[in-house]
Formats: sequence, structure tokens, C-alpha cells
Amino acid sequence: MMNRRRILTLAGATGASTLAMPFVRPSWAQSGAVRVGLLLPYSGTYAALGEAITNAMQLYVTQQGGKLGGRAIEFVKVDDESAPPKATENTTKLVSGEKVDVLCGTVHSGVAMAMAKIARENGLPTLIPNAGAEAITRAMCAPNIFRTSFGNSQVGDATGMAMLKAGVKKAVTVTWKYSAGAESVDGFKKSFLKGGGEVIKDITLPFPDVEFQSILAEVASLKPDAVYSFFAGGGALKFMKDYHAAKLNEKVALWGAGFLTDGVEKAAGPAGDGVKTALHYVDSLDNAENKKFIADYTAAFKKAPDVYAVQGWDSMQLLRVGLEAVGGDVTKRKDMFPAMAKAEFKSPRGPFKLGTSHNPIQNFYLRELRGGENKYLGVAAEMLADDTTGCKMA
Amino acid sequence: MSANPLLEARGIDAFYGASHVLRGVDFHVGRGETVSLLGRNGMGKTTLLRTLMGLVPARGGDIRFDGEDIKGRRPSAVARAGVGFVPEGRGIFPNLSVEENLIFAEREGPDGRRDWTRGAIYQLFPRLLERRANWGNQLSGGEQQMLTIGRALMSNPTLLMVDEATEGLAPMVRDDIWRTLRLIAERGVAIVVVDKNLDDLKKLCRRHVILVKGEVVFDGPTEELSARDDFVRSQLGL
Amino acid sequence: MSLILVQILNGLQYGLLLFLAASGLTLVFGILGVINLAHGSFYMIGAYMALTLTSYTGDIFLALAAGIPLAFLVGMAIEWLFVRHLYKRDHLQQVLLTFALILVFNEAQQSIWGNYPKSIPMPSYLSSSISLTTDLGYSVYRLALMAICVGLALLMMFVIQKTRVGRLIRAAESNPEMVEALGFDSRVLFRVVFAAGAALAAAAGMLAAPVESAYPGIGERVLIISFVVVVIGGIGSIRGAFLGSLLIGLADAFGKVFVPKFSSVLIYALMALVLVLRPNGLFGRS
Repeated sequence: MMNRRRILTLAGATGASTLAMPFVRPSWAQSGAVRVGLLLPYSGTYAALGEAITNAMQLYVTQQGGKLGGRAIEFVKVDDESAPPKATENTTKLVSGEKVDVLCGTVHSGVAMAMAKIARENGLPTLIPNAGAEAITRAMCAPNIFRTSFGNSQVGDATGMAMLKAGVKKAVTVTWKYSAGAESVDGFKKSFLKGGGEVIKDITLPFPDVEFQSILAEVASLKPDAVYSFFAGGGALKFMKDYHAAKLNEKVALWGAGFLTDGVEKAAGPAGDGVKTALHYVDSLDNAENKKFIADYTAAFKKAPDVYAVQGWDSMQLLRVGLEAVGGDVTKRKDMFPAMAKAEFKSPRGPFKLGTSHNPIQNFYLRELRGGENKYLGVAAEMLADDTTGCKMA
Repeated sequence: MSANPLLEARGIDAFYGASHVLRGVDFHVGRGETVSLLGRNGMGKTTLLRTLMGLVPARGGDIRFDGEDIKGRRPSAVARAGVGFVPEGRGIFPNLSVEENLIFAEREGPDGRRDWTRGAIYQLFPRLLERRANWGNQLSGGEQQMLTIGRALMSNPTLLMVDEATEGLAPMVRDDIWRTLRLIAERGVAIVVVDKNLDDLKKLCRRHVILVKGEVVFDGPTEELSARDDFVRSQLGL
Repeated sequence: MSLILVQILNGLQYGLLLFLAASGLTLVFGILGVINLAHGSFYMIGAYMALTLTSYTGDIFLALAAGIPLAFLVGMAIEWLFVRHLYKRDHLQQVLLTFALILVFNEAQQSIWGNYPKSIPMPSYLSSSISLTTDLGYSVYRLALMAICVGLALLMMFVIQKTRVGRLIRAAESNPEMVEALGFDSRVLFRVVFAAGAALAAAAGMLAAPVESAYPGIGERVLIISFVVVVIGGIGSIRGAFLGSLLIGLADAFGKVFVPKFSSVLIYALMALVLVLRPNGLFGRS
């Protein structure tokens, strides 16, 4: 079953990418290329995220002439299906089977944890373009593992600050019962409680359940000032629509980590109006990198990029820094990793640099969804770093 | 053999998995004729009926019904050609009422006749009329047997194949079934019946066929069956 | 309105929708004896058909009128191409083939509709919300959805109990060979039943689409919960599927609010309990 799944995925993915990206050649064609293994979701709830990340990475490499640090780049894709039970097998397939030089993944935190465990052991250069699992840049941090996205609690932390500033006193949290949700809520509480806010209740539902009606009724009965939520993808869309249909938005402001609205701005329609979120990106950011990024991405893929695309883009920027430092020789890890750790570059999201645990230090922006667009309302937290609790770089 | 038989099977071979159950069986039934099919358990009687019905594929040979080649046809096509089937173990629909079981099979015969209506069946089996609203699985064994026969008749068949209709029934109920089968035969329906009660079969059927290990060892009229009593008894293990 | 009454409403609404999806699965399982893992895919296809057809017709109910026959035809085609070869095979082979169908359907969905969640508009005349409490509204569309589901459930029970097709279905469920021996071509019956199952799942997907939206993986979620319904209700039983769906809907709604720690396992615990007390499900026959 696994093989079949993968063949289908590769066939579909390479079919699509060879059309759009002539430089991506099948793996047998090159021997001198740096092989970048992509462990990403190409099916299921997070398929859109995997697609956006992959698109941006391919776009970046194409713009660099197909090469980073003088070496051609070749992508090898495996669909991780956002399935933690299959994560070890899928990672091993890339590492041992495909013998990739660089590992890159993924979206789902549970899958990323299993991948990071293997990466720690074999020391392969590893880029994490989304999953915000805290342990990856805390207790499990390693010299070879770099995150270009966010820590789950970092986003919650920033959102909590923005909610306090907006005058929210009593909040209820709602999320899926899985580690990303719990960490996001922890981050939110870190700033919100410290600033004098009160959390009346933490509500969870099983991942990826989207039957929200009963918990919406509960929220209504609790009468908070606002809801802090952490959802993404189809679940996020449904949550906003159900929230609106339940008329909760009239009395209880809906807030969330920015993933709530990203990718579903248009789909949410009027149901999304007034939903406020904080995130390390908003597409209306006024900087040159962002404008060029949006224009190029839209031209290549006939759709606008999102935060996931930005993270994929920056993972290639970071890889470029590493490869340039060693002239494309991925075996010179002793020189490559410190160069990456010290990397500072301009990202569509604003300035990008890494903290001591290899998690980005970055701006978080306050946004409000209105008329199918995330409007930029200001900076929620400037150059915010995530906790590094428990991180000891070997 | 009559000149224009209703059912005519020649050289039938049939298998259950690897075991060769029917070995070149010749079998025929004339219009309106009543034929018994005899033999010990496991000799191929039920398999022969099921093969004729199309429920078991015939590997070799040739089956014609009413002049048409029906070998390889689906059971539903054989049924619509005019064969009514009363299987061993009865096969009523437990989750249909008695009336529904009957309506289920209702259709005009291959010759366009509709002799057997619900009314006619209820006349034949007054007991079924009393229990018409009951579910199939609420009936006694005898009632179930009546229902299966009645149901098969509802499709106005020209041939009725009855497998072990009296097995496990009380003597009085058995007599009822035999009496009914004779009534049905008198109305011109050809009948093939598998049973173990030689005496009752002799009263109903004019011709008898004995199967031993998938082959026909006897095919003759009642007089011949009676005349070769010792042979018959040894073949049937009586 | 108290929280308990609101949760009863929520549970019934979820359960009714679940019934539409699960009823097709139980029919196919009960009559054809096929474990159809691709059943959820028909739900997914329904959701995306709602997306495409409402963009042409402008109204979900017009889309439904076109989509149900379309799904029926898709079901007929799938039965003819693949499923009919499975009737005499063992369950492992059924699972393998229908799992492969899920992959094919998902791949097709991604290439046709893409990976981003899509919203399906509610008809404007049902898009408002009424107030249940001072703080809580309830979508009128959801109320309409409940009415439609109840209507369809009644219609289905009428068809099964009172019509010729229903007699055939019940008969085939208990003894398919005898149905054939009484002159009914079971190939036709099986194809129709499979297609009806597909159409029911697609109808559920379409009806739910305006509240549920359409996104990758939506079918798998429905598949798992539908199997739980079938096991609780008893394989092949429409009445069982109805009761099982409502039970699960209510357990889900109350579980999430009153025993949130156990809400993820509650419906499976319910299933286990039913299996202990009635191993063949509530309305299953041994």
C-alpha cells in the first residue's frame, strides 16, 4: 500500500512540476546535484500547505538558476500523509532509501518530531518549513536542525499580547487536542495571563474533528470577551463559518493564531469578517521582498502565496547560505551549520534571523480578516524570540 | 423418452471445487410429467437440481428447457423460462411477511398464464392465509415449506423442482405436502422431486431416477422400480 | 433554551446527517457483502460536486437535483468496473481494492479542485440564523438540513418497507441466491444497490457542503464514523443505522461538553458497549 501511495504521489507531483518547472529533473538524471528530500503532506487536510511550501522552494531554486552554492538542486518528494505512525518509515525512506543530502519537512508536528529524532541521530542538514512543535527547538534542538517557520507557543504569545492591547479580559481557548494546539494555547497564556487576563476555560476537541456545534454552545454559555483559537485548513474554515452562523461573533470576538485565516480568506466570505489573528506574515506587508515574492509566485502558480509559501521560500534562502559557506559541499557540516545559524536575510515576512535554538526571531503582525483579505493592523510583537528551555547544542 | 421433453439435459458434468460431483448425467422431464430423483446422501441429487437451475455451473454437456438452450444462463433467466425452485432448507425470506414472500415471486408464466394467484395459493394452503401477516421467521417448519412451494408456484412455472420438501416434518404435515404436490401435478405442472420416502414418491411420480456417485444407475417407470426392488434398495441403502 | 436542549439539537442534527452517509454503507455491506472503504469518497465527491454544480446552478438544491443522479451513475460505473468482481472474493481483497479507489478518488480530487478548502454558498433564503439563546444563534440551513434528513429517512423506510424495490432489497439481504432463483437478476439489483449507496453518501456530502465546506480528506473522516454506525446499528439494518447515527450524534455533542477528556474515545466506547450487549448490533441478525 505504501509503495503504491508513493508512486501515485510522485507521478502526480513530478508530472505537475515538470510542466511548471523545467529544471526539476527525475532523480536518475543527475549525479552532481544536492538531493533535497521533501517530507511533506501531499494528501489529506494539509495537502494545500505541502503544495505551497513545495511551490515556493522550487520557485526560489529556479530563480537562482537551479543551483544553490554552485550545486544543482534536486527534489525528492514523499507524501507524509500527516500520519505520525508512518513518519519514521517515510523519513527512513528518504534518508536511507533515496540517500538525500538535505532533509526538509514537514507540516504536522507529530510527523516532524519523528523526523527530527532521526535527523538528530544522523546529523543530516535538516530544514523545518512549518511544524511548530516546541521540542524541536527546545529539548530536542540540534546543530543540524533549523526551523524557518515559528514555534507554536511563539504565535500564541504574540496573539495574547495583541488581545490584551485590544482590551480583552476574559477568554476561552478552543483548539484540537493535539500537541500543536496545546503548545499554542500555552504560548497564548504566557503573555495573556502575565498581562492580567483570565482564561475561563480551555476547550478541546479530537483532531481533526470538525463538529463544532456543541462547543460553540458551550462558549456562548460561558460568556467570555473573546475566544483564542488554533485551527488550520478545512477545520479553520468550518470553525469560522459555524462561529458566524451561531451568531457568536456578535458578542464574543474571535481571535486566533494566524493559521485560522490563512489559505481560507476568500472561502470564509462574510463569516470571516472581523476575525483577528497574529502571525509572522501578512500578504499586504509593505516591503520590496514581499512584493516581488507575491508577483513572482502568482505568475508561476496562478495563485497568491501564503505564509506557508514564505516559510518554504526562506528554507531555501537558509539552505543557500549554508551551501555558499561550503562551496556546495554538504559534507562540510562543521562549517555549514554555524553559517546557517548566523544567517540573517530579508524575507517577505520582514527581517529574518535565528535564535540560539535555531528558531526564527521575527516580527508578528496583527491582522483582521475583512472582505476576503487579511488587513494589516500593525505589529503585535517586534522581533519576538521563542523560549529555548532545555536546548543544549552539542 | 417422450418426443418433445420439457427439460432435457445430456452429459452433465459438475464440480464442487476439485470434486467431480456429476459425471455425464442424462436427465429429462416431459411436459406435465412427475419424476423422482433418488439416491443416498452425497450422490449428487441436490447438485443436479442446482445445476439445472444454473446455481452450479455445468462444465460439460447440454441443457435445454422448452426447446431453448439454458446452459450457462443465470438462475434468474432459468426461473423466468418457467422453472420454479423449492430448495433444500426452504430458503424463505425471514424478513418478509408471508404475503410479501408470495408477492415477491408473482409473475405470469412463460406461456402467459396466471393460474397461480395469491388466492389460489391460499386455497391450496389455508394455513398461509391465517399467517399472511407474520414474518417468515415466525413460521413453523411445515408452514415454511408450504410457503416455499406456494412462492415457487406464484411465478406460474411449467416445471417445479422440489428438494427434500418433507424432511424433518411431522407425519401429518408430510401427508399434507404430498397431497398438495399431487394436486399441483394434476393441474399440469411438471414436477421433479428429491425425497427419501419411496412409498410416497411412487404414489406421486410416474418415473424415477437413481443417482449413484454422480451417475444415473436407474431411469424407469414406477413398475420397473417396484420390480427391481432388491437393486433399488441396495442402491438407496434402505 | 438550556445548554442541554441545545446539545440535543446539535446531536440530532449531526446524527441525522451521519445517517444519510451510513445508510448507504450498511446497505452495501449488508446486501452485497462488500466492505466498501471508498464509501467516504462518495461523500467527498458529493461535497465537491456541490461546489461545482452550485457554481453553475446558483443553488444547492438545484445542484442536488443534478448531483444525485450523477452520483448514481458514478456508482453504477464503479460497480461495473470494479466492485462486481469482489462479490465472491474475501474481505481482504475487497479492502485492498476499495482502498485503492480512495487513493484514485483523492488524487482526482486534488487535480480537479486543488488542495485549498473551498466554501459552498448557502441559499440566501436559508442563510440567516435564528436565536436559540440570547448569546447563541442557530443556522436556518441546519434546521432545513434536519428536516430534509428526516424526510429522506422516512422516504427510505417507506421504500424499504412498502415497495417492490424494498422487498427485493430486504430479500437480497437475507438470501441473495434465492432472489436470483426466483427470477431476479441479482447483477442488476447489486448494481442498483451500490449506486443507491453511492448516491446517498454523495447526497449527504452535498447537503452538508454549505456548512461543512469541501477540503481534502473530508471523506475519510465520514467513512470511519459511518463504520461505527453500521457496527452499532447492525449490518444491513436501515433502522439500526438510524438509531446508531442518532446515538453517536448525541454522544458526540454531550461528550465534547460534559466529558471533554473522553470525547475522542466516547463513541468507540459506545460501540464496544453495544458489541458486548448485542454482538450483532442493535438490529443485526445473527
